This record gives sequence, structure tokens and C-alpha cells, in this order.
Amino acid sequence: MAEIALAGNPNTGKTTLFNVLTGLSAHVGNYPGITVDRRSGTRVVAGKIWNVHDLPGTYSLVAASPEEQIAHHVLTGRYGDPRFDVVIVVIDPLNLARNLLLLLQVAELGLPVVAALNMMDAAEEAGLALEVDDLHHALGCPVVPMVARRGDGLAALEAAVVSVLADPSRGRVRATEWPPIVDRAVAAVQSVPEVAERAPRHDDALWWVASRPVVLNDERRGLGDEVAEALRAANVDVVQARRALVHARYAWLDPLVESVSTRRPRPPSWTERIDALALHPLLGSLIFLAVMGVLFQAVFAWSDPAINAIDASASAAATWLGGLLPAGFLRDVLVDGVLAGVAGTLVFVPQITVLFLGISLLEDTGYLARTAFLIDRVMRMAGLPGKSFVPLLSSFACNVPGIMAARTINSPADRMVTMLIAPLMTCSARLPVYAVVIAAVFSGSAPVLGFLSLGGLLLTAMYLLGMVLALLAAFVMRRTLFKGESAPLLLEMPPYRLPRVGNVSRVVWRRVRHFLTETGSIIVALTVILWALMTFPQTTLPLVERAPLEAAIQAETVGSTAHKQATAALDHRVQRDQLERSVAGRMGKAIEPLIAPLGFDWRIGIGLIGSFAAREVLIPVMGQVYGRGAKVEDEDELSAAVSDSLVRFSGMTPLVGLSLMVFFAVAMQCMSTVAVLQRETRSWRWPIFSILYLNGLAYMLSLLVYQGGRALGYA
Amino acid sequence: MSEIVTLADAPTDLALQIVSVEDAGAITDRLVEFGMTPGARVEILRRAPWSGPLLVRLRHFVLTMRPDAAQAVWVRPEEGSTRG
Repeated sequence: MAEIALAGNPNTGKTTLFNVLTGLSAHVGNYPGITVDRRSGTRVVAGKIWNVHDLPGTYSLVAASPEEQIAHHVLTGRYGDPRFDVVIVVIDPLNLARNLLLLLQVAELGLPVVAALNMMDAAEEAGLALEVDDLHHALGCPVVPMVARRGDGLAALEAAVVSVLADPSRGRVRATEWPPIVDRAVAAVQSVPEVAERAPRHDDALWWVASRPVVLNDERRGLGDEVAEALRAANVDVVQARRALVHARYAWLDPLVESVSTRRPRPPSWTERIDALALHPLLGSLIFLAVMGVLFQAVFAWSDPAINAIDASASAAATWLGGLLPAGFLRDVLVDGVLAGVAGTLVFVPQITVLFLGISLLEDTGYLARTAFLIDRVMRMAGLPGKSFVPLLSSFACNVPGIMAARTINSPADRMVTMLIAPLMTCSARLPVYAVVIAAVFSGSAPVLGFLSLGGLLLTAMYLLGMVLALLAAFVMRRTLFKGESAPLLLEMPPYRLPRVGNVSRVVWRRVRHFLTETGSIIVALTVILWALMTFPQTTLPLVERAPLEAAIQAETVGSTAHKQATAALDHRVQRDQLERSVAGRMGKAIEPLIAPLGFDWRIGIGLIGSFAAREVLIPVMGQVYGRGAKVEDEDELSAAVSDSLVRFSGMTPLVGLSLMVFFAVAMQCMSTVAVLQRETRSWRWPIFSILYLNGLAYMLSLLVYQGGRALGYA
Repeated sequence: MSEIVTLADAPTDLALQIVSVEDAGAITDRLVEFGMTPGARVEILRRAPWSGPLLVRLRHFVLTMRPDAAQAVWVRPEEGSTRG
């Protein structure tokens, strides 16, 4: 058994090499406490099992930000990893010096290394010729030219790793000399006893010197002052030491790289020609809008047929299962709880698939990095990175895949802010709610300015309200909860490439599977809980109310329309009674004093509680509350019935309608979003925070609308 | 142009040489590790409108950075190069 790690800069084809090495054995886990994928797999070489671990792509092991210390921590066993026998450093030959800097850092940890010069075909195309043997002699460790995508050089890589496994000294890299200031800094840091204990080795102490204080908080645990004091006593400026170290390495690498490479002049590459268009101020913006338009359209509309098919299969399955089991608790909990939860999970799969297909295509081709250049100026106004754009755009279709898409944001703080404001983007599930309210109280309104429908204007206003609040929320969170420097924009623009089907399909499959297994279980659990709240305690309709309805049925001939209507009336009355007296119904009534200032009665209160299952559930739940159309199959008919009832029973006026729309635009009314937030942050803290802040905000705004409207004389 | 200016103020499409990088927080470490070392070649390829990010060729790769970070990088025209 051998433990092999893969390290490398981003855009070196490291993932491709990992996939080629591990094939189907690859699996994904997590590092403790952080949400970065930890990928590993196995390969059998010459009868020996290799455990291959893929490190997150990084430019450096010296941490300038928390996410960069992951690779260092994995290599030094801080996440409980084994001591690696060989580290394969994947290198882009076109950027040799920068890539070799990482190799030197890995070697400095005392780990045997093998340099894999990947994408040699692209390097040759770009006019670069390398003296691989000279490079090997200069570095000391094995250097293997390869094209991982095609499997070229794989056998040579295996042979190099096998030789280092047999004799680790073959994987040693010729040591570069440290400038004296670095030695003095290391000595000063190690003079603090606690540090010497924790970082006994030279390279450990070097990491302390070379890393930014901001990321060392965990490690230093209050030692910051003592270390600073020791450095002061030794008269060492740590910033200077850090800089001197990098300069010394480049000073060693630059002539080395110069001596082994020959570059032929060449005509402008494809990448340069495409960028001339794609990054052009006007044309580039138009291309960007078109690409984002297609992506959004795909998530919003093209996944519809699949969603409808899932809905239809779910109802078919419910009917089938319902007919199979005897009436009673078991049937209800399985059909209305578990099955509804499973269906409620599956229904997100089409959108997640389409969105991640789009994102990974954009990422694989290299265009995603360009969007950061194009949109950064706009996002900067909100204090957000350009990479927030795609997650927020996707959230207009559905918050769930949008929040998942925030994984592409490297900085934890930026990612968190993006996930917390994503629910403010008006998702498609809010549309039916707006439609019902608009139909109820605004349908008869005269067009504004003679040609704009009031309903359309209100809809636009709801979208804008969400966006403005999101920008404000981001602004506030950046200055309170997630203070400090936002991750600075510093992004390599990789060359354009054709997308690789294997990479793209792996990313999509991993996201879908992650959603189904992790988020799905929470959605099912919450659906069952909500079902129970609406079902218990079980009630029977009092005889006084039941008798006249049953008499009405008996008065009609069996099979006649009037008989069916009378039967339906009894059914509705029973269901309404059940819902009203259930825990959820009582909660709806209990919160009436709280929501009355917003203009909502207890019936809307039940609707709000019930629609937590999914926003679009508001309409069926309201149908039940009003005792209408509990089993109406036609959605349009149900919506019309609910619109009508909102006015008749809940006394909905245009002002109440507006208040309800504002509430829905802002409130966290979706347990699937809560579930996905829980999975993505791996804690209940942030989902609960988001419920509190979004519903608090929704409450205040609705209060402002309703009470303000009343003060102005509206009803 | 022969004097030393920051990368934020340097003209586009002119071969430049890095003179020094000031310490401007964590981003400086990254800039230096990226290869913004004294003497390294750098060229501004494009500026996004309204003081948006810069597109910069450093050594043999292209990167994008905000103008505030570019203010920490001092450059001068590469020997023998002329504008255009």
C-alpha cells in the first residue's frame, strides 16, 4: 500500500490526471469542518495498491487566505491524512517557474516528489520546447512529460513513482538556499517554546514565518504576541523575510527555466483571438448577456418537461401506493409524508442537472474565469466577487441549485454572503403565489399610464425588491458578520479548451448525487414533520355539522351531479375541519395576533405555515383552508377558487395583497432552501440565521406596507 | 514614458518590467508568488470600463486583477521597447 498525493496549480489538468489514475474508484468526502471536496481513489500498479489523494488546486502552500492552507494542512497531516510516500506535482510547462515554486514548497516539507509536466501537446503548440533531461538534472527529482487527457506518459509516470517508492531519496529536490533573513526569522519563531513544540521541524516553523497572520489564528492560539515579540527581539521584519524567500526561489528558478526552455515566436493563439472578442467592452458584454441568458433560460424553462414528468410520476406513484395499502396511518405517512418528500427532492434534480451542466461547461472551456473580468465592476458595488454572479442568477430559477452553485466561490466569507442573500432572488416557485394574489385583488385594475398592466408592474417590483434587498444585505453582512478583506480578485485566465465530456459529466453527477443523498434526506424528514403537523391530532367532524351534509347527500340520486357535489361538500368540510384543528391549524390561529398587523388572518397564517414545505404549496393549502378544491385536479381552477376565497373569506384587499406579496418576496418560506443551506454550511447555525433575518425583514416590510398604506387611507 | 509608475497607471500594450511590489495585504503575497518579482515582464492587455479589472500578461500567463491591487505594483517600460 502506498499513499500518493496529487498537488498542482489550478488549470494544470490535475483533475484529469486524477480521473485517469483512479477511474471509477474515485470517491468524494469532506475535510473536517470545511466544505471542500476531498477526492481520493485507488490504482493498482505492479501488484501494489496506491491510495491516490487529490489536493485542492493551489498556487502555493504558504497560506495567504484560509482556503489556501488546506493543501498545506493535508500534506502535513493536520487533517489526519497519512504521511504521503510520493507527491506528484502536476505542472503546466508553459508556466514553469510559477509551477515549480509549488514543487519547491512541497519538497521543503520533506516529501518525495515527482514532477508531471502535463499538457505537453499544448506547450508544443504554443512554440515551447523543453529539455526535460536537463530539468530533471537541475531539480533532482523525476520529471515526466505527459498528456494526461490522452493517457500519454502514464506508464513513465508510474515507473517514476515506483522508483521513488523504492528509494525515496530519488524524489528529493536539490535544496535552494534560504536568504539569511529567513533563517533568522525561523530561528526567532522557534525560540518561542510553544512554537518549537508545535513546529519542531524547520519547515513547520518556516510555514509560520511565511504565512499571513490572519490565517494562523487557529494554529497560534494566542501565541501571536509572543511570536511577534520574538521576531522584534531578533530584529526581523517578517514581511521582508516572507518576500525574500519568494524572491530567492524565483532567483533560483528563473535562470533554470531559461536554460531548459526555447520559445519560438508564434502567431496569436486561439485564446488571444477569442479573448479579443469575448473581453471586448461592448461585444464582450453582449456575448456575456447572451451566454447568461441561455443558461438562465435553460434552468428556468428547459428543465420544465422533466419537472412535469417527475410531478406526473409522483402523482401516479401516490395513487398506486395509495391503492395498494389499506387506509390508515401507515398509508398516509408513506404517501403524504415520505413519498411527497421524495418527490419534493426529485423535482429539483432537472434544474440542478441543467445548471451544473452549464456551469461545468463554462468552467471547462475557460469562459467562467472571463465572466469574473466582465462582471467584477458591477459586483464590486455590492462588495461581492464576480464569481457570485452565476449562483445569484441561477437563484432566480430556484434558490436550491443557486446556493449549491456558490461552491465555485473560493473565499469562505464571500461564499457565505452569497448563499445567505440567494434566497432573496425571486425564484420561480413564488410566481404562482403572486399570480393568485394579483388575480384576487388587482385583476380589475385599470392599466397604469394607459398601457402597463398593474399586475405586470407589481411582478417587476417584487423582482426588484428582492435584488435591492440582496445588495443591501450583502453590504451590511460584509461590514458586520463577515468583516475583513474580501477575497481580492486575482484570477488566472486559463486558455480556452474544448470541454471534456468525462470531467463535465463527473461534476454534474457528483452534484446531483450529493443533493439526492444529503439534502434529500433533510427534505424528506421536514416533509414528514410538516405532514404530521397538518394531520394531528386526528379529528372527526362533530355530528351537528356532519348530519345536515349527510342528509343532503342522501336526498340526491346516486350518480347525479347534485349527489357528487353534495359528497364533495362533505369531503371539503371534513378536510377543512381536520386542517383547522391540526397542530398547524392551531399554530395558524395562534399566530393570528402576530400577523394581524400585516393584514393577514389565521387562514393566511395556516397557509404560511403549510407553504414552508414549498412556496407553491400555498395554493393547495389555502384551497384546503377554504374548504375548496382540496382534490381539484385542475391547477387553474384551484388558483381561481383560492383567489376568490382570499377576497371572500380572508377579506383580502389590494393593500393586504401587496403586503402578502412583499412577505413572500422576502421571507424564507422554503424548507428545501433551509435543507440545502444546512448541507452546504454543515451546520444549523446559518439556516436558522437565514430564517430569522429573512422572516424578520419580511415582517417589518409587510408591516410597513400594511400600516403605512392604512395611514395613507387605503383599506 | 520612462519614469516609474504603478501598474494601475501604466499604459496598455506596452512591455513593462516590474520594479517592486509594495506590501498591500494578503494579495501582495499572492502577486509575488505569481511571479511579480523585480525584473519580471508584465503587460496590460486590457482595462474593463469604469475602473474595472485589468487584464494583465505576467511572464507567460494572463491574469485579471483590480486596479487597487495594481497600485501596489511599480513598473517601468522594458529596456528598448517603444509604445505601439
